[in-house]
Amino acid sequence: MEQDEKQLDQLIKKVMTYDTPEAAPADFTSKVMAQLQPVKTSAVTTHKPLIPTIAWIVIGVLFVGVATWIMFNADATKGGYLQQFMAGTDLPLQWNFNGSKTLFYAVLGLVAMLGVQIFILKDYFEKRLAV
Amino acid sequence: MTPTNDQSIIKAVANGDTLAYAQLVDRYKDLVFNVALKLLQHREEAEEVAQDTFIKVFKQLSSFKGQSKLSTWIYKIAYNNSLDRLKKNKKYRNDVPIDGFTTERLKCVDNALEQLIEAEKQQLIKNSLAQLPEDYRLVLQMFYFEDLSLQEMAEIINIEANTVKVKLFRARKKLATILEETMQQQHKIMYYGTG
Repeated sequence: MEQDEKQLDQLIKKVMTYDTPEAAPADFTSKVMAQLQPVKTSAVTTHKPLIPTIAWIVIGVLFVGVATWIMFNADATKGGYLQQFMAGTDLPLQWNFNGSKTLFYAVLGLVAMLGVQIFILKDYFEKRLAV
Repeated sequence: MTPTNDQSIIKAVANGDTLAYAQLVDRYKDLVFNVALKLLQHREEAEEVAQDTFIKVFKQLSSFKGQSKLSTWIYKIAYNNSLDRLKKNKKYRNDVPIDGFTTERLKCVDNALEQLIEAEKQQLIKNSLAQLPEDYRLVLQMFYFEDLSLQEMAEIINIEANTVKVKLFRARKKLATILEETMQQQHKIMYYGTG
């Protein structure tokens, strides 16, 4: 078996010497270089995000922090500083949001789903656009 | 040109010296052109894909971190580009069944090849290689011409090194089968005519 494989390798090695690689056309380099000029100028308009990644991270951390604080300190918000402050003003800000638990879990689920999808989509597009 | 020179060209290109890139193209154009040609089997298309490969290499050069050899990295881009074109053209080749080969059968193929004159031999081998599926043709080229290791081949094709080994083995067998069939047909024509 091993002898067969060795012989097969030797035969193919011999056969492959007859399939010599071909040279690229003579004007190949100049054609590539001619196409590089438009590429070079378009590099000026490279995409740069308006809000840097670090800012998004800070916003995310703040948002999660505030949401967590509200969730675990629901009672503390009742009659808290905001309401005390608002009581002293004439603004008609008397909102009292009493959503059902189902709505709460639905919104939470939606946010979680969105969070997961962002990473999946990012991964998908990165792979697609990779060389 | 040594790898150090590759590095200096990369640096020069990064510093805005576009003309330095011409040296890189000159150095690797045959390699890229042959990858495309082996997969596409069409000179004009291969040239187009090879040019496109060098445009991509230029755009991505700043992201090359030197984790692999520059040639391997360029090879990989050329391979992916050619595959994309193949998919676009839907030009996948027919599948030739692989036979089990014994030493005796291999000797027969070898002897029959020896009896052919050089020009016939070259034509027959080129025709047989053209009948191989694209990926098999390419692994044979990478292994026997470019002297790439299984690991480097695995990196280019993006599969495990063991899978490359299997692919290489199957490619050898397939080529031997095609050679045998082609020579049997030629033998029939020589002795019994076309009618």
